[in-house]
Amino acid sequence: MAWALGFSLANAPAPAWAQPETSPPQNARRTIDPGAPPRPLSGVSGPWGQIVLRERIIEPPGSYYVDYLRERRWSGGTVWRLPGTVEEARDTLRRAGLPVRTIDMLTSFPQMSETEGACHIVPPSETLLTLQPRQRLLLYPHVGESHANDPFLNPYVLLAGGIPRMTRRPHGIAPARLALIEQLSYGAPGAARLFSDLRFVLERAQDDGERMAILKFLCREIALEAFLELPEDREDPEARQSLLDYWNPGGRNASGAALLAAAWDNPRIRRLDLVHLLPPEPRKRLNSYATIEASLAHAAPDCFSTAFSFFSDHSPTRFLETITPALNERYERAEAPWQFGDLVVLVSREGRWLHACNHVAGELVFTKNGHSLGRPWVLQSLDEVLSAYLGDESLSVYFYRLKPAYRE
Amino acid sequence: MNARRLLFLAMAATTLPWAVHPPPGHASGLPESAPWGRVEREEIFLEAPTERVALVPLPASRTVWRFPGRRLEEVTSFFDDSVNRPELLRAMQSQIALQELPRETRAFPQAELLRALPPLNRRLIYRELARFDANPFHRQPVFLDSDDVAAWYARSSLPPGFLTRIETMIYPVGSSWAFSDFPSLLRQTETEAEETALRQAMTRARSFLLTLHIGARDDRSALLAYWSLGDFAELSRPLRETLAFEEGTETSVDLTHLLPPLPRRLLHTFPSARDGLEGEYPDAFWTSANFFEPEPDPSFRDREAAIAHITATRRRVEPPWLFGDVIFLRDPGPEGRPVHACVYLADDLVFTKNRRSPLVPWVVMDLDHVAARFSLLSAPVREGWRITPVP
Repeated sequence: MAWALGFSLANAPAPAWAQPETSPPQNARRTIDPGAPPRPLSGVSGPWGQIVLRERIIEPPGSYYVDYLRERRWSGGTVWRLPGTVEEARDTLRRAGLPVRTIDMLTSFPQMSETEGACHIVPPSETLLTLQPRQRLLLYPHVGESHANDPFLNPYVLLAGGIPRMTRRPHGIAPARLALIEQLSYGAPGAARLFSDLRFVLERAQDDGERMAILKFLCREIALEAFLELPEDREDPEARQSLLDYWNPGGRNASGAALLAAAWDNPRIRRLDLVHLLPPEPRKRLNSYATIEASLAHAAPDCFSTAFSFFSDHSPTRFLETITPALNERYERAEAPWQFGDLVVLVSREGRWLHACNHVAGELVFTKNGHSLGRPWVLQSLDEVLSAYLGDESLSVYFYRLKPAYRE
Repeated sequence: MNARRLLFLAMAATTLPWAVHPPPGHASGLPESAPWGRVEREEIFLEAPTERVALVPLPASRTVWRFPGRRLEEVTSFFDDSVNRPELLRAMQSQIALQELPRETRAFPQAELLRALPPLNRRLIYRELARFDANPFHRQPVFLDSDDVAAWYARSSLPPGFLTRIETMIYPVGSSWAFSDFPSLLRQTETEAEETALRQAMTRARSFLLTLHIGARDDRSALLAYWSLGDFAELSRPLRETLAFEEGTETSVDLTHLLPPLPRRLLHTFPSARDGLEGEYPDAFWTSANFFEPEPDPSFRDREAAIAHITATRRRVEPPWLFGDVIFLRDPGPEGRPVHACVYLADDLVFTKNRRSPLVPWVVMDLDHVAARFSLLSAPVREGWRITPVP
């Protein structure tokens, strides 16, 4: 089922720090289906030149999971933690649509225990396997531990197109476990597919090798490789300047423009990897993963700190805490045509900022989809990003731009 | 002031203590497969931004050769020893004015003489001048890593008419050519814009865009192992792994993707003003010690601290060098201190920051050409240091 995705702001309450505007959006509406891969994007052309794209799938380095596996954090079975009294727990289970008999069983000994103001439920395997996707969708946001790595509170978002697309690259997971992941995934109709039952699947893996493969597999991400095709005829100074102007808006990307000019001056260079045209910080980050050293306590680099430091040569640590002062002072709503580096902000129907990324060219954006260390910085199509964040019937997209007085 | 025309004695200059090598050609091409794979290189040229160039005070256009701590007689004796042709000697005698000051002797060669100096004699004189910080253009000349000066400055900001002058005033150093007579060029400029363009052209540096080509039948695991270095290149692993999975197909990847994050950020850029906030801009040792660090360690701005870190975390290795090896260039001699450090990539190409100056970018260069920059006085000794895996 496809759901409408509105670019219009007409029905979206403005976020607290952003006043709604009435200027018409560039695209009125678009419809996407996260159940299917986004339409293939082989290239984009426009004032940025001719860009050709190649799709790769990347996953986090194994070192990210070594401690998790060594300490067997996956063992011990699935536990649902529901804060409050038994009656409140029963109510949550009821609202998720579980049958009364199942609720009775789950809230009785030996399945349930009460400690520290919460009910801890150990659901039997049969219950876990027979939950309907809609039941998981309604229940799981209420059963997780209150930390960022809890897969119930922050479920894995499977790639648009699901398991079939994710398995295009070798993975080392047995078919039975893949089928289990498929069976346990859930999500609203037409929205991104989610997965939370990590422990359940890891307990059934053959060994740590397969567990490692599963952990990496669930974080698979589309990474587009992008190349700017340089024209054969390099003698037109206007064409050269026009290209430089696009990639260096407001003089904010001098190093990228200098590299482009240098490549333009060598007629043997016909294709330039876009990594060279990005400003220093995104160039450093492209196709890599954040490290714990780059975090501030529990605040890891996320989409907002990434998007707001696009033109910086050093990402300010302050952006791990808040981007509000920068937004209020430095940014203004952007008018089409969109420029290189513009902020692209995804806003829920309630006005909540879901995500931010940076416009690169055409449908191409630079993005970090989530604050988890397991989510890389990549180039993706806008539809790919929207698929990951479309958890509701619709969402809106705002564009922001640095005011002319600011370089970063 | 004690100024007078010089008198010269003809002396032979045939027993030069250093060798002069013709610069090698550097045509782009796809070499045969090697442990690092087939790496294609395409040259690019970078010039410092005009606003950065403007930070440096404009020197006088009159050329001054300064000899701190030398008496006038010592200087004339040195000139005598540097010239082996009578007609050149006569020209120098008539076209160099000398000034003896309490702490140094200064020589003021005329522009005509500067243009007429043969490369080897120029090399001899400028080598001596390079011993003194007081001669910045000789101590840190402009380097050209090609014998085709016109190609080097093609499409550059060099104003018309200056190319020939540079061609006549370069001198060989190692496998490169050096140019030190910027003040004499400045004299020929007519507008401030021309001055700026000339200064910008003097910052011109060559680098390479590198592409790794992987054939359908190449041993990918061996090839990608070369670029992995275990956990030290962990952060570039994600894309590298995808290449491994594409067995049986030809593919290619820009080598920038296989570099660790920090060199990826720095490559082909000039230091920003922010890079100098700590009081000093990053240098070669900071660059090499931080190569695998996700975030740069500021303590490596201290050269000794960076050297200590490199030698403590790595072991000495002989060639052939591998990706990630730090190459020290040392003054010859048992106590010779490292004068430079860079990081080996492949095919004798290194990642390097050749000076602390904000006018010098991070680039990919041939190791021979890097060595030339530190061969003004004597050819440095090369020494490899390979990272030691953590047990």
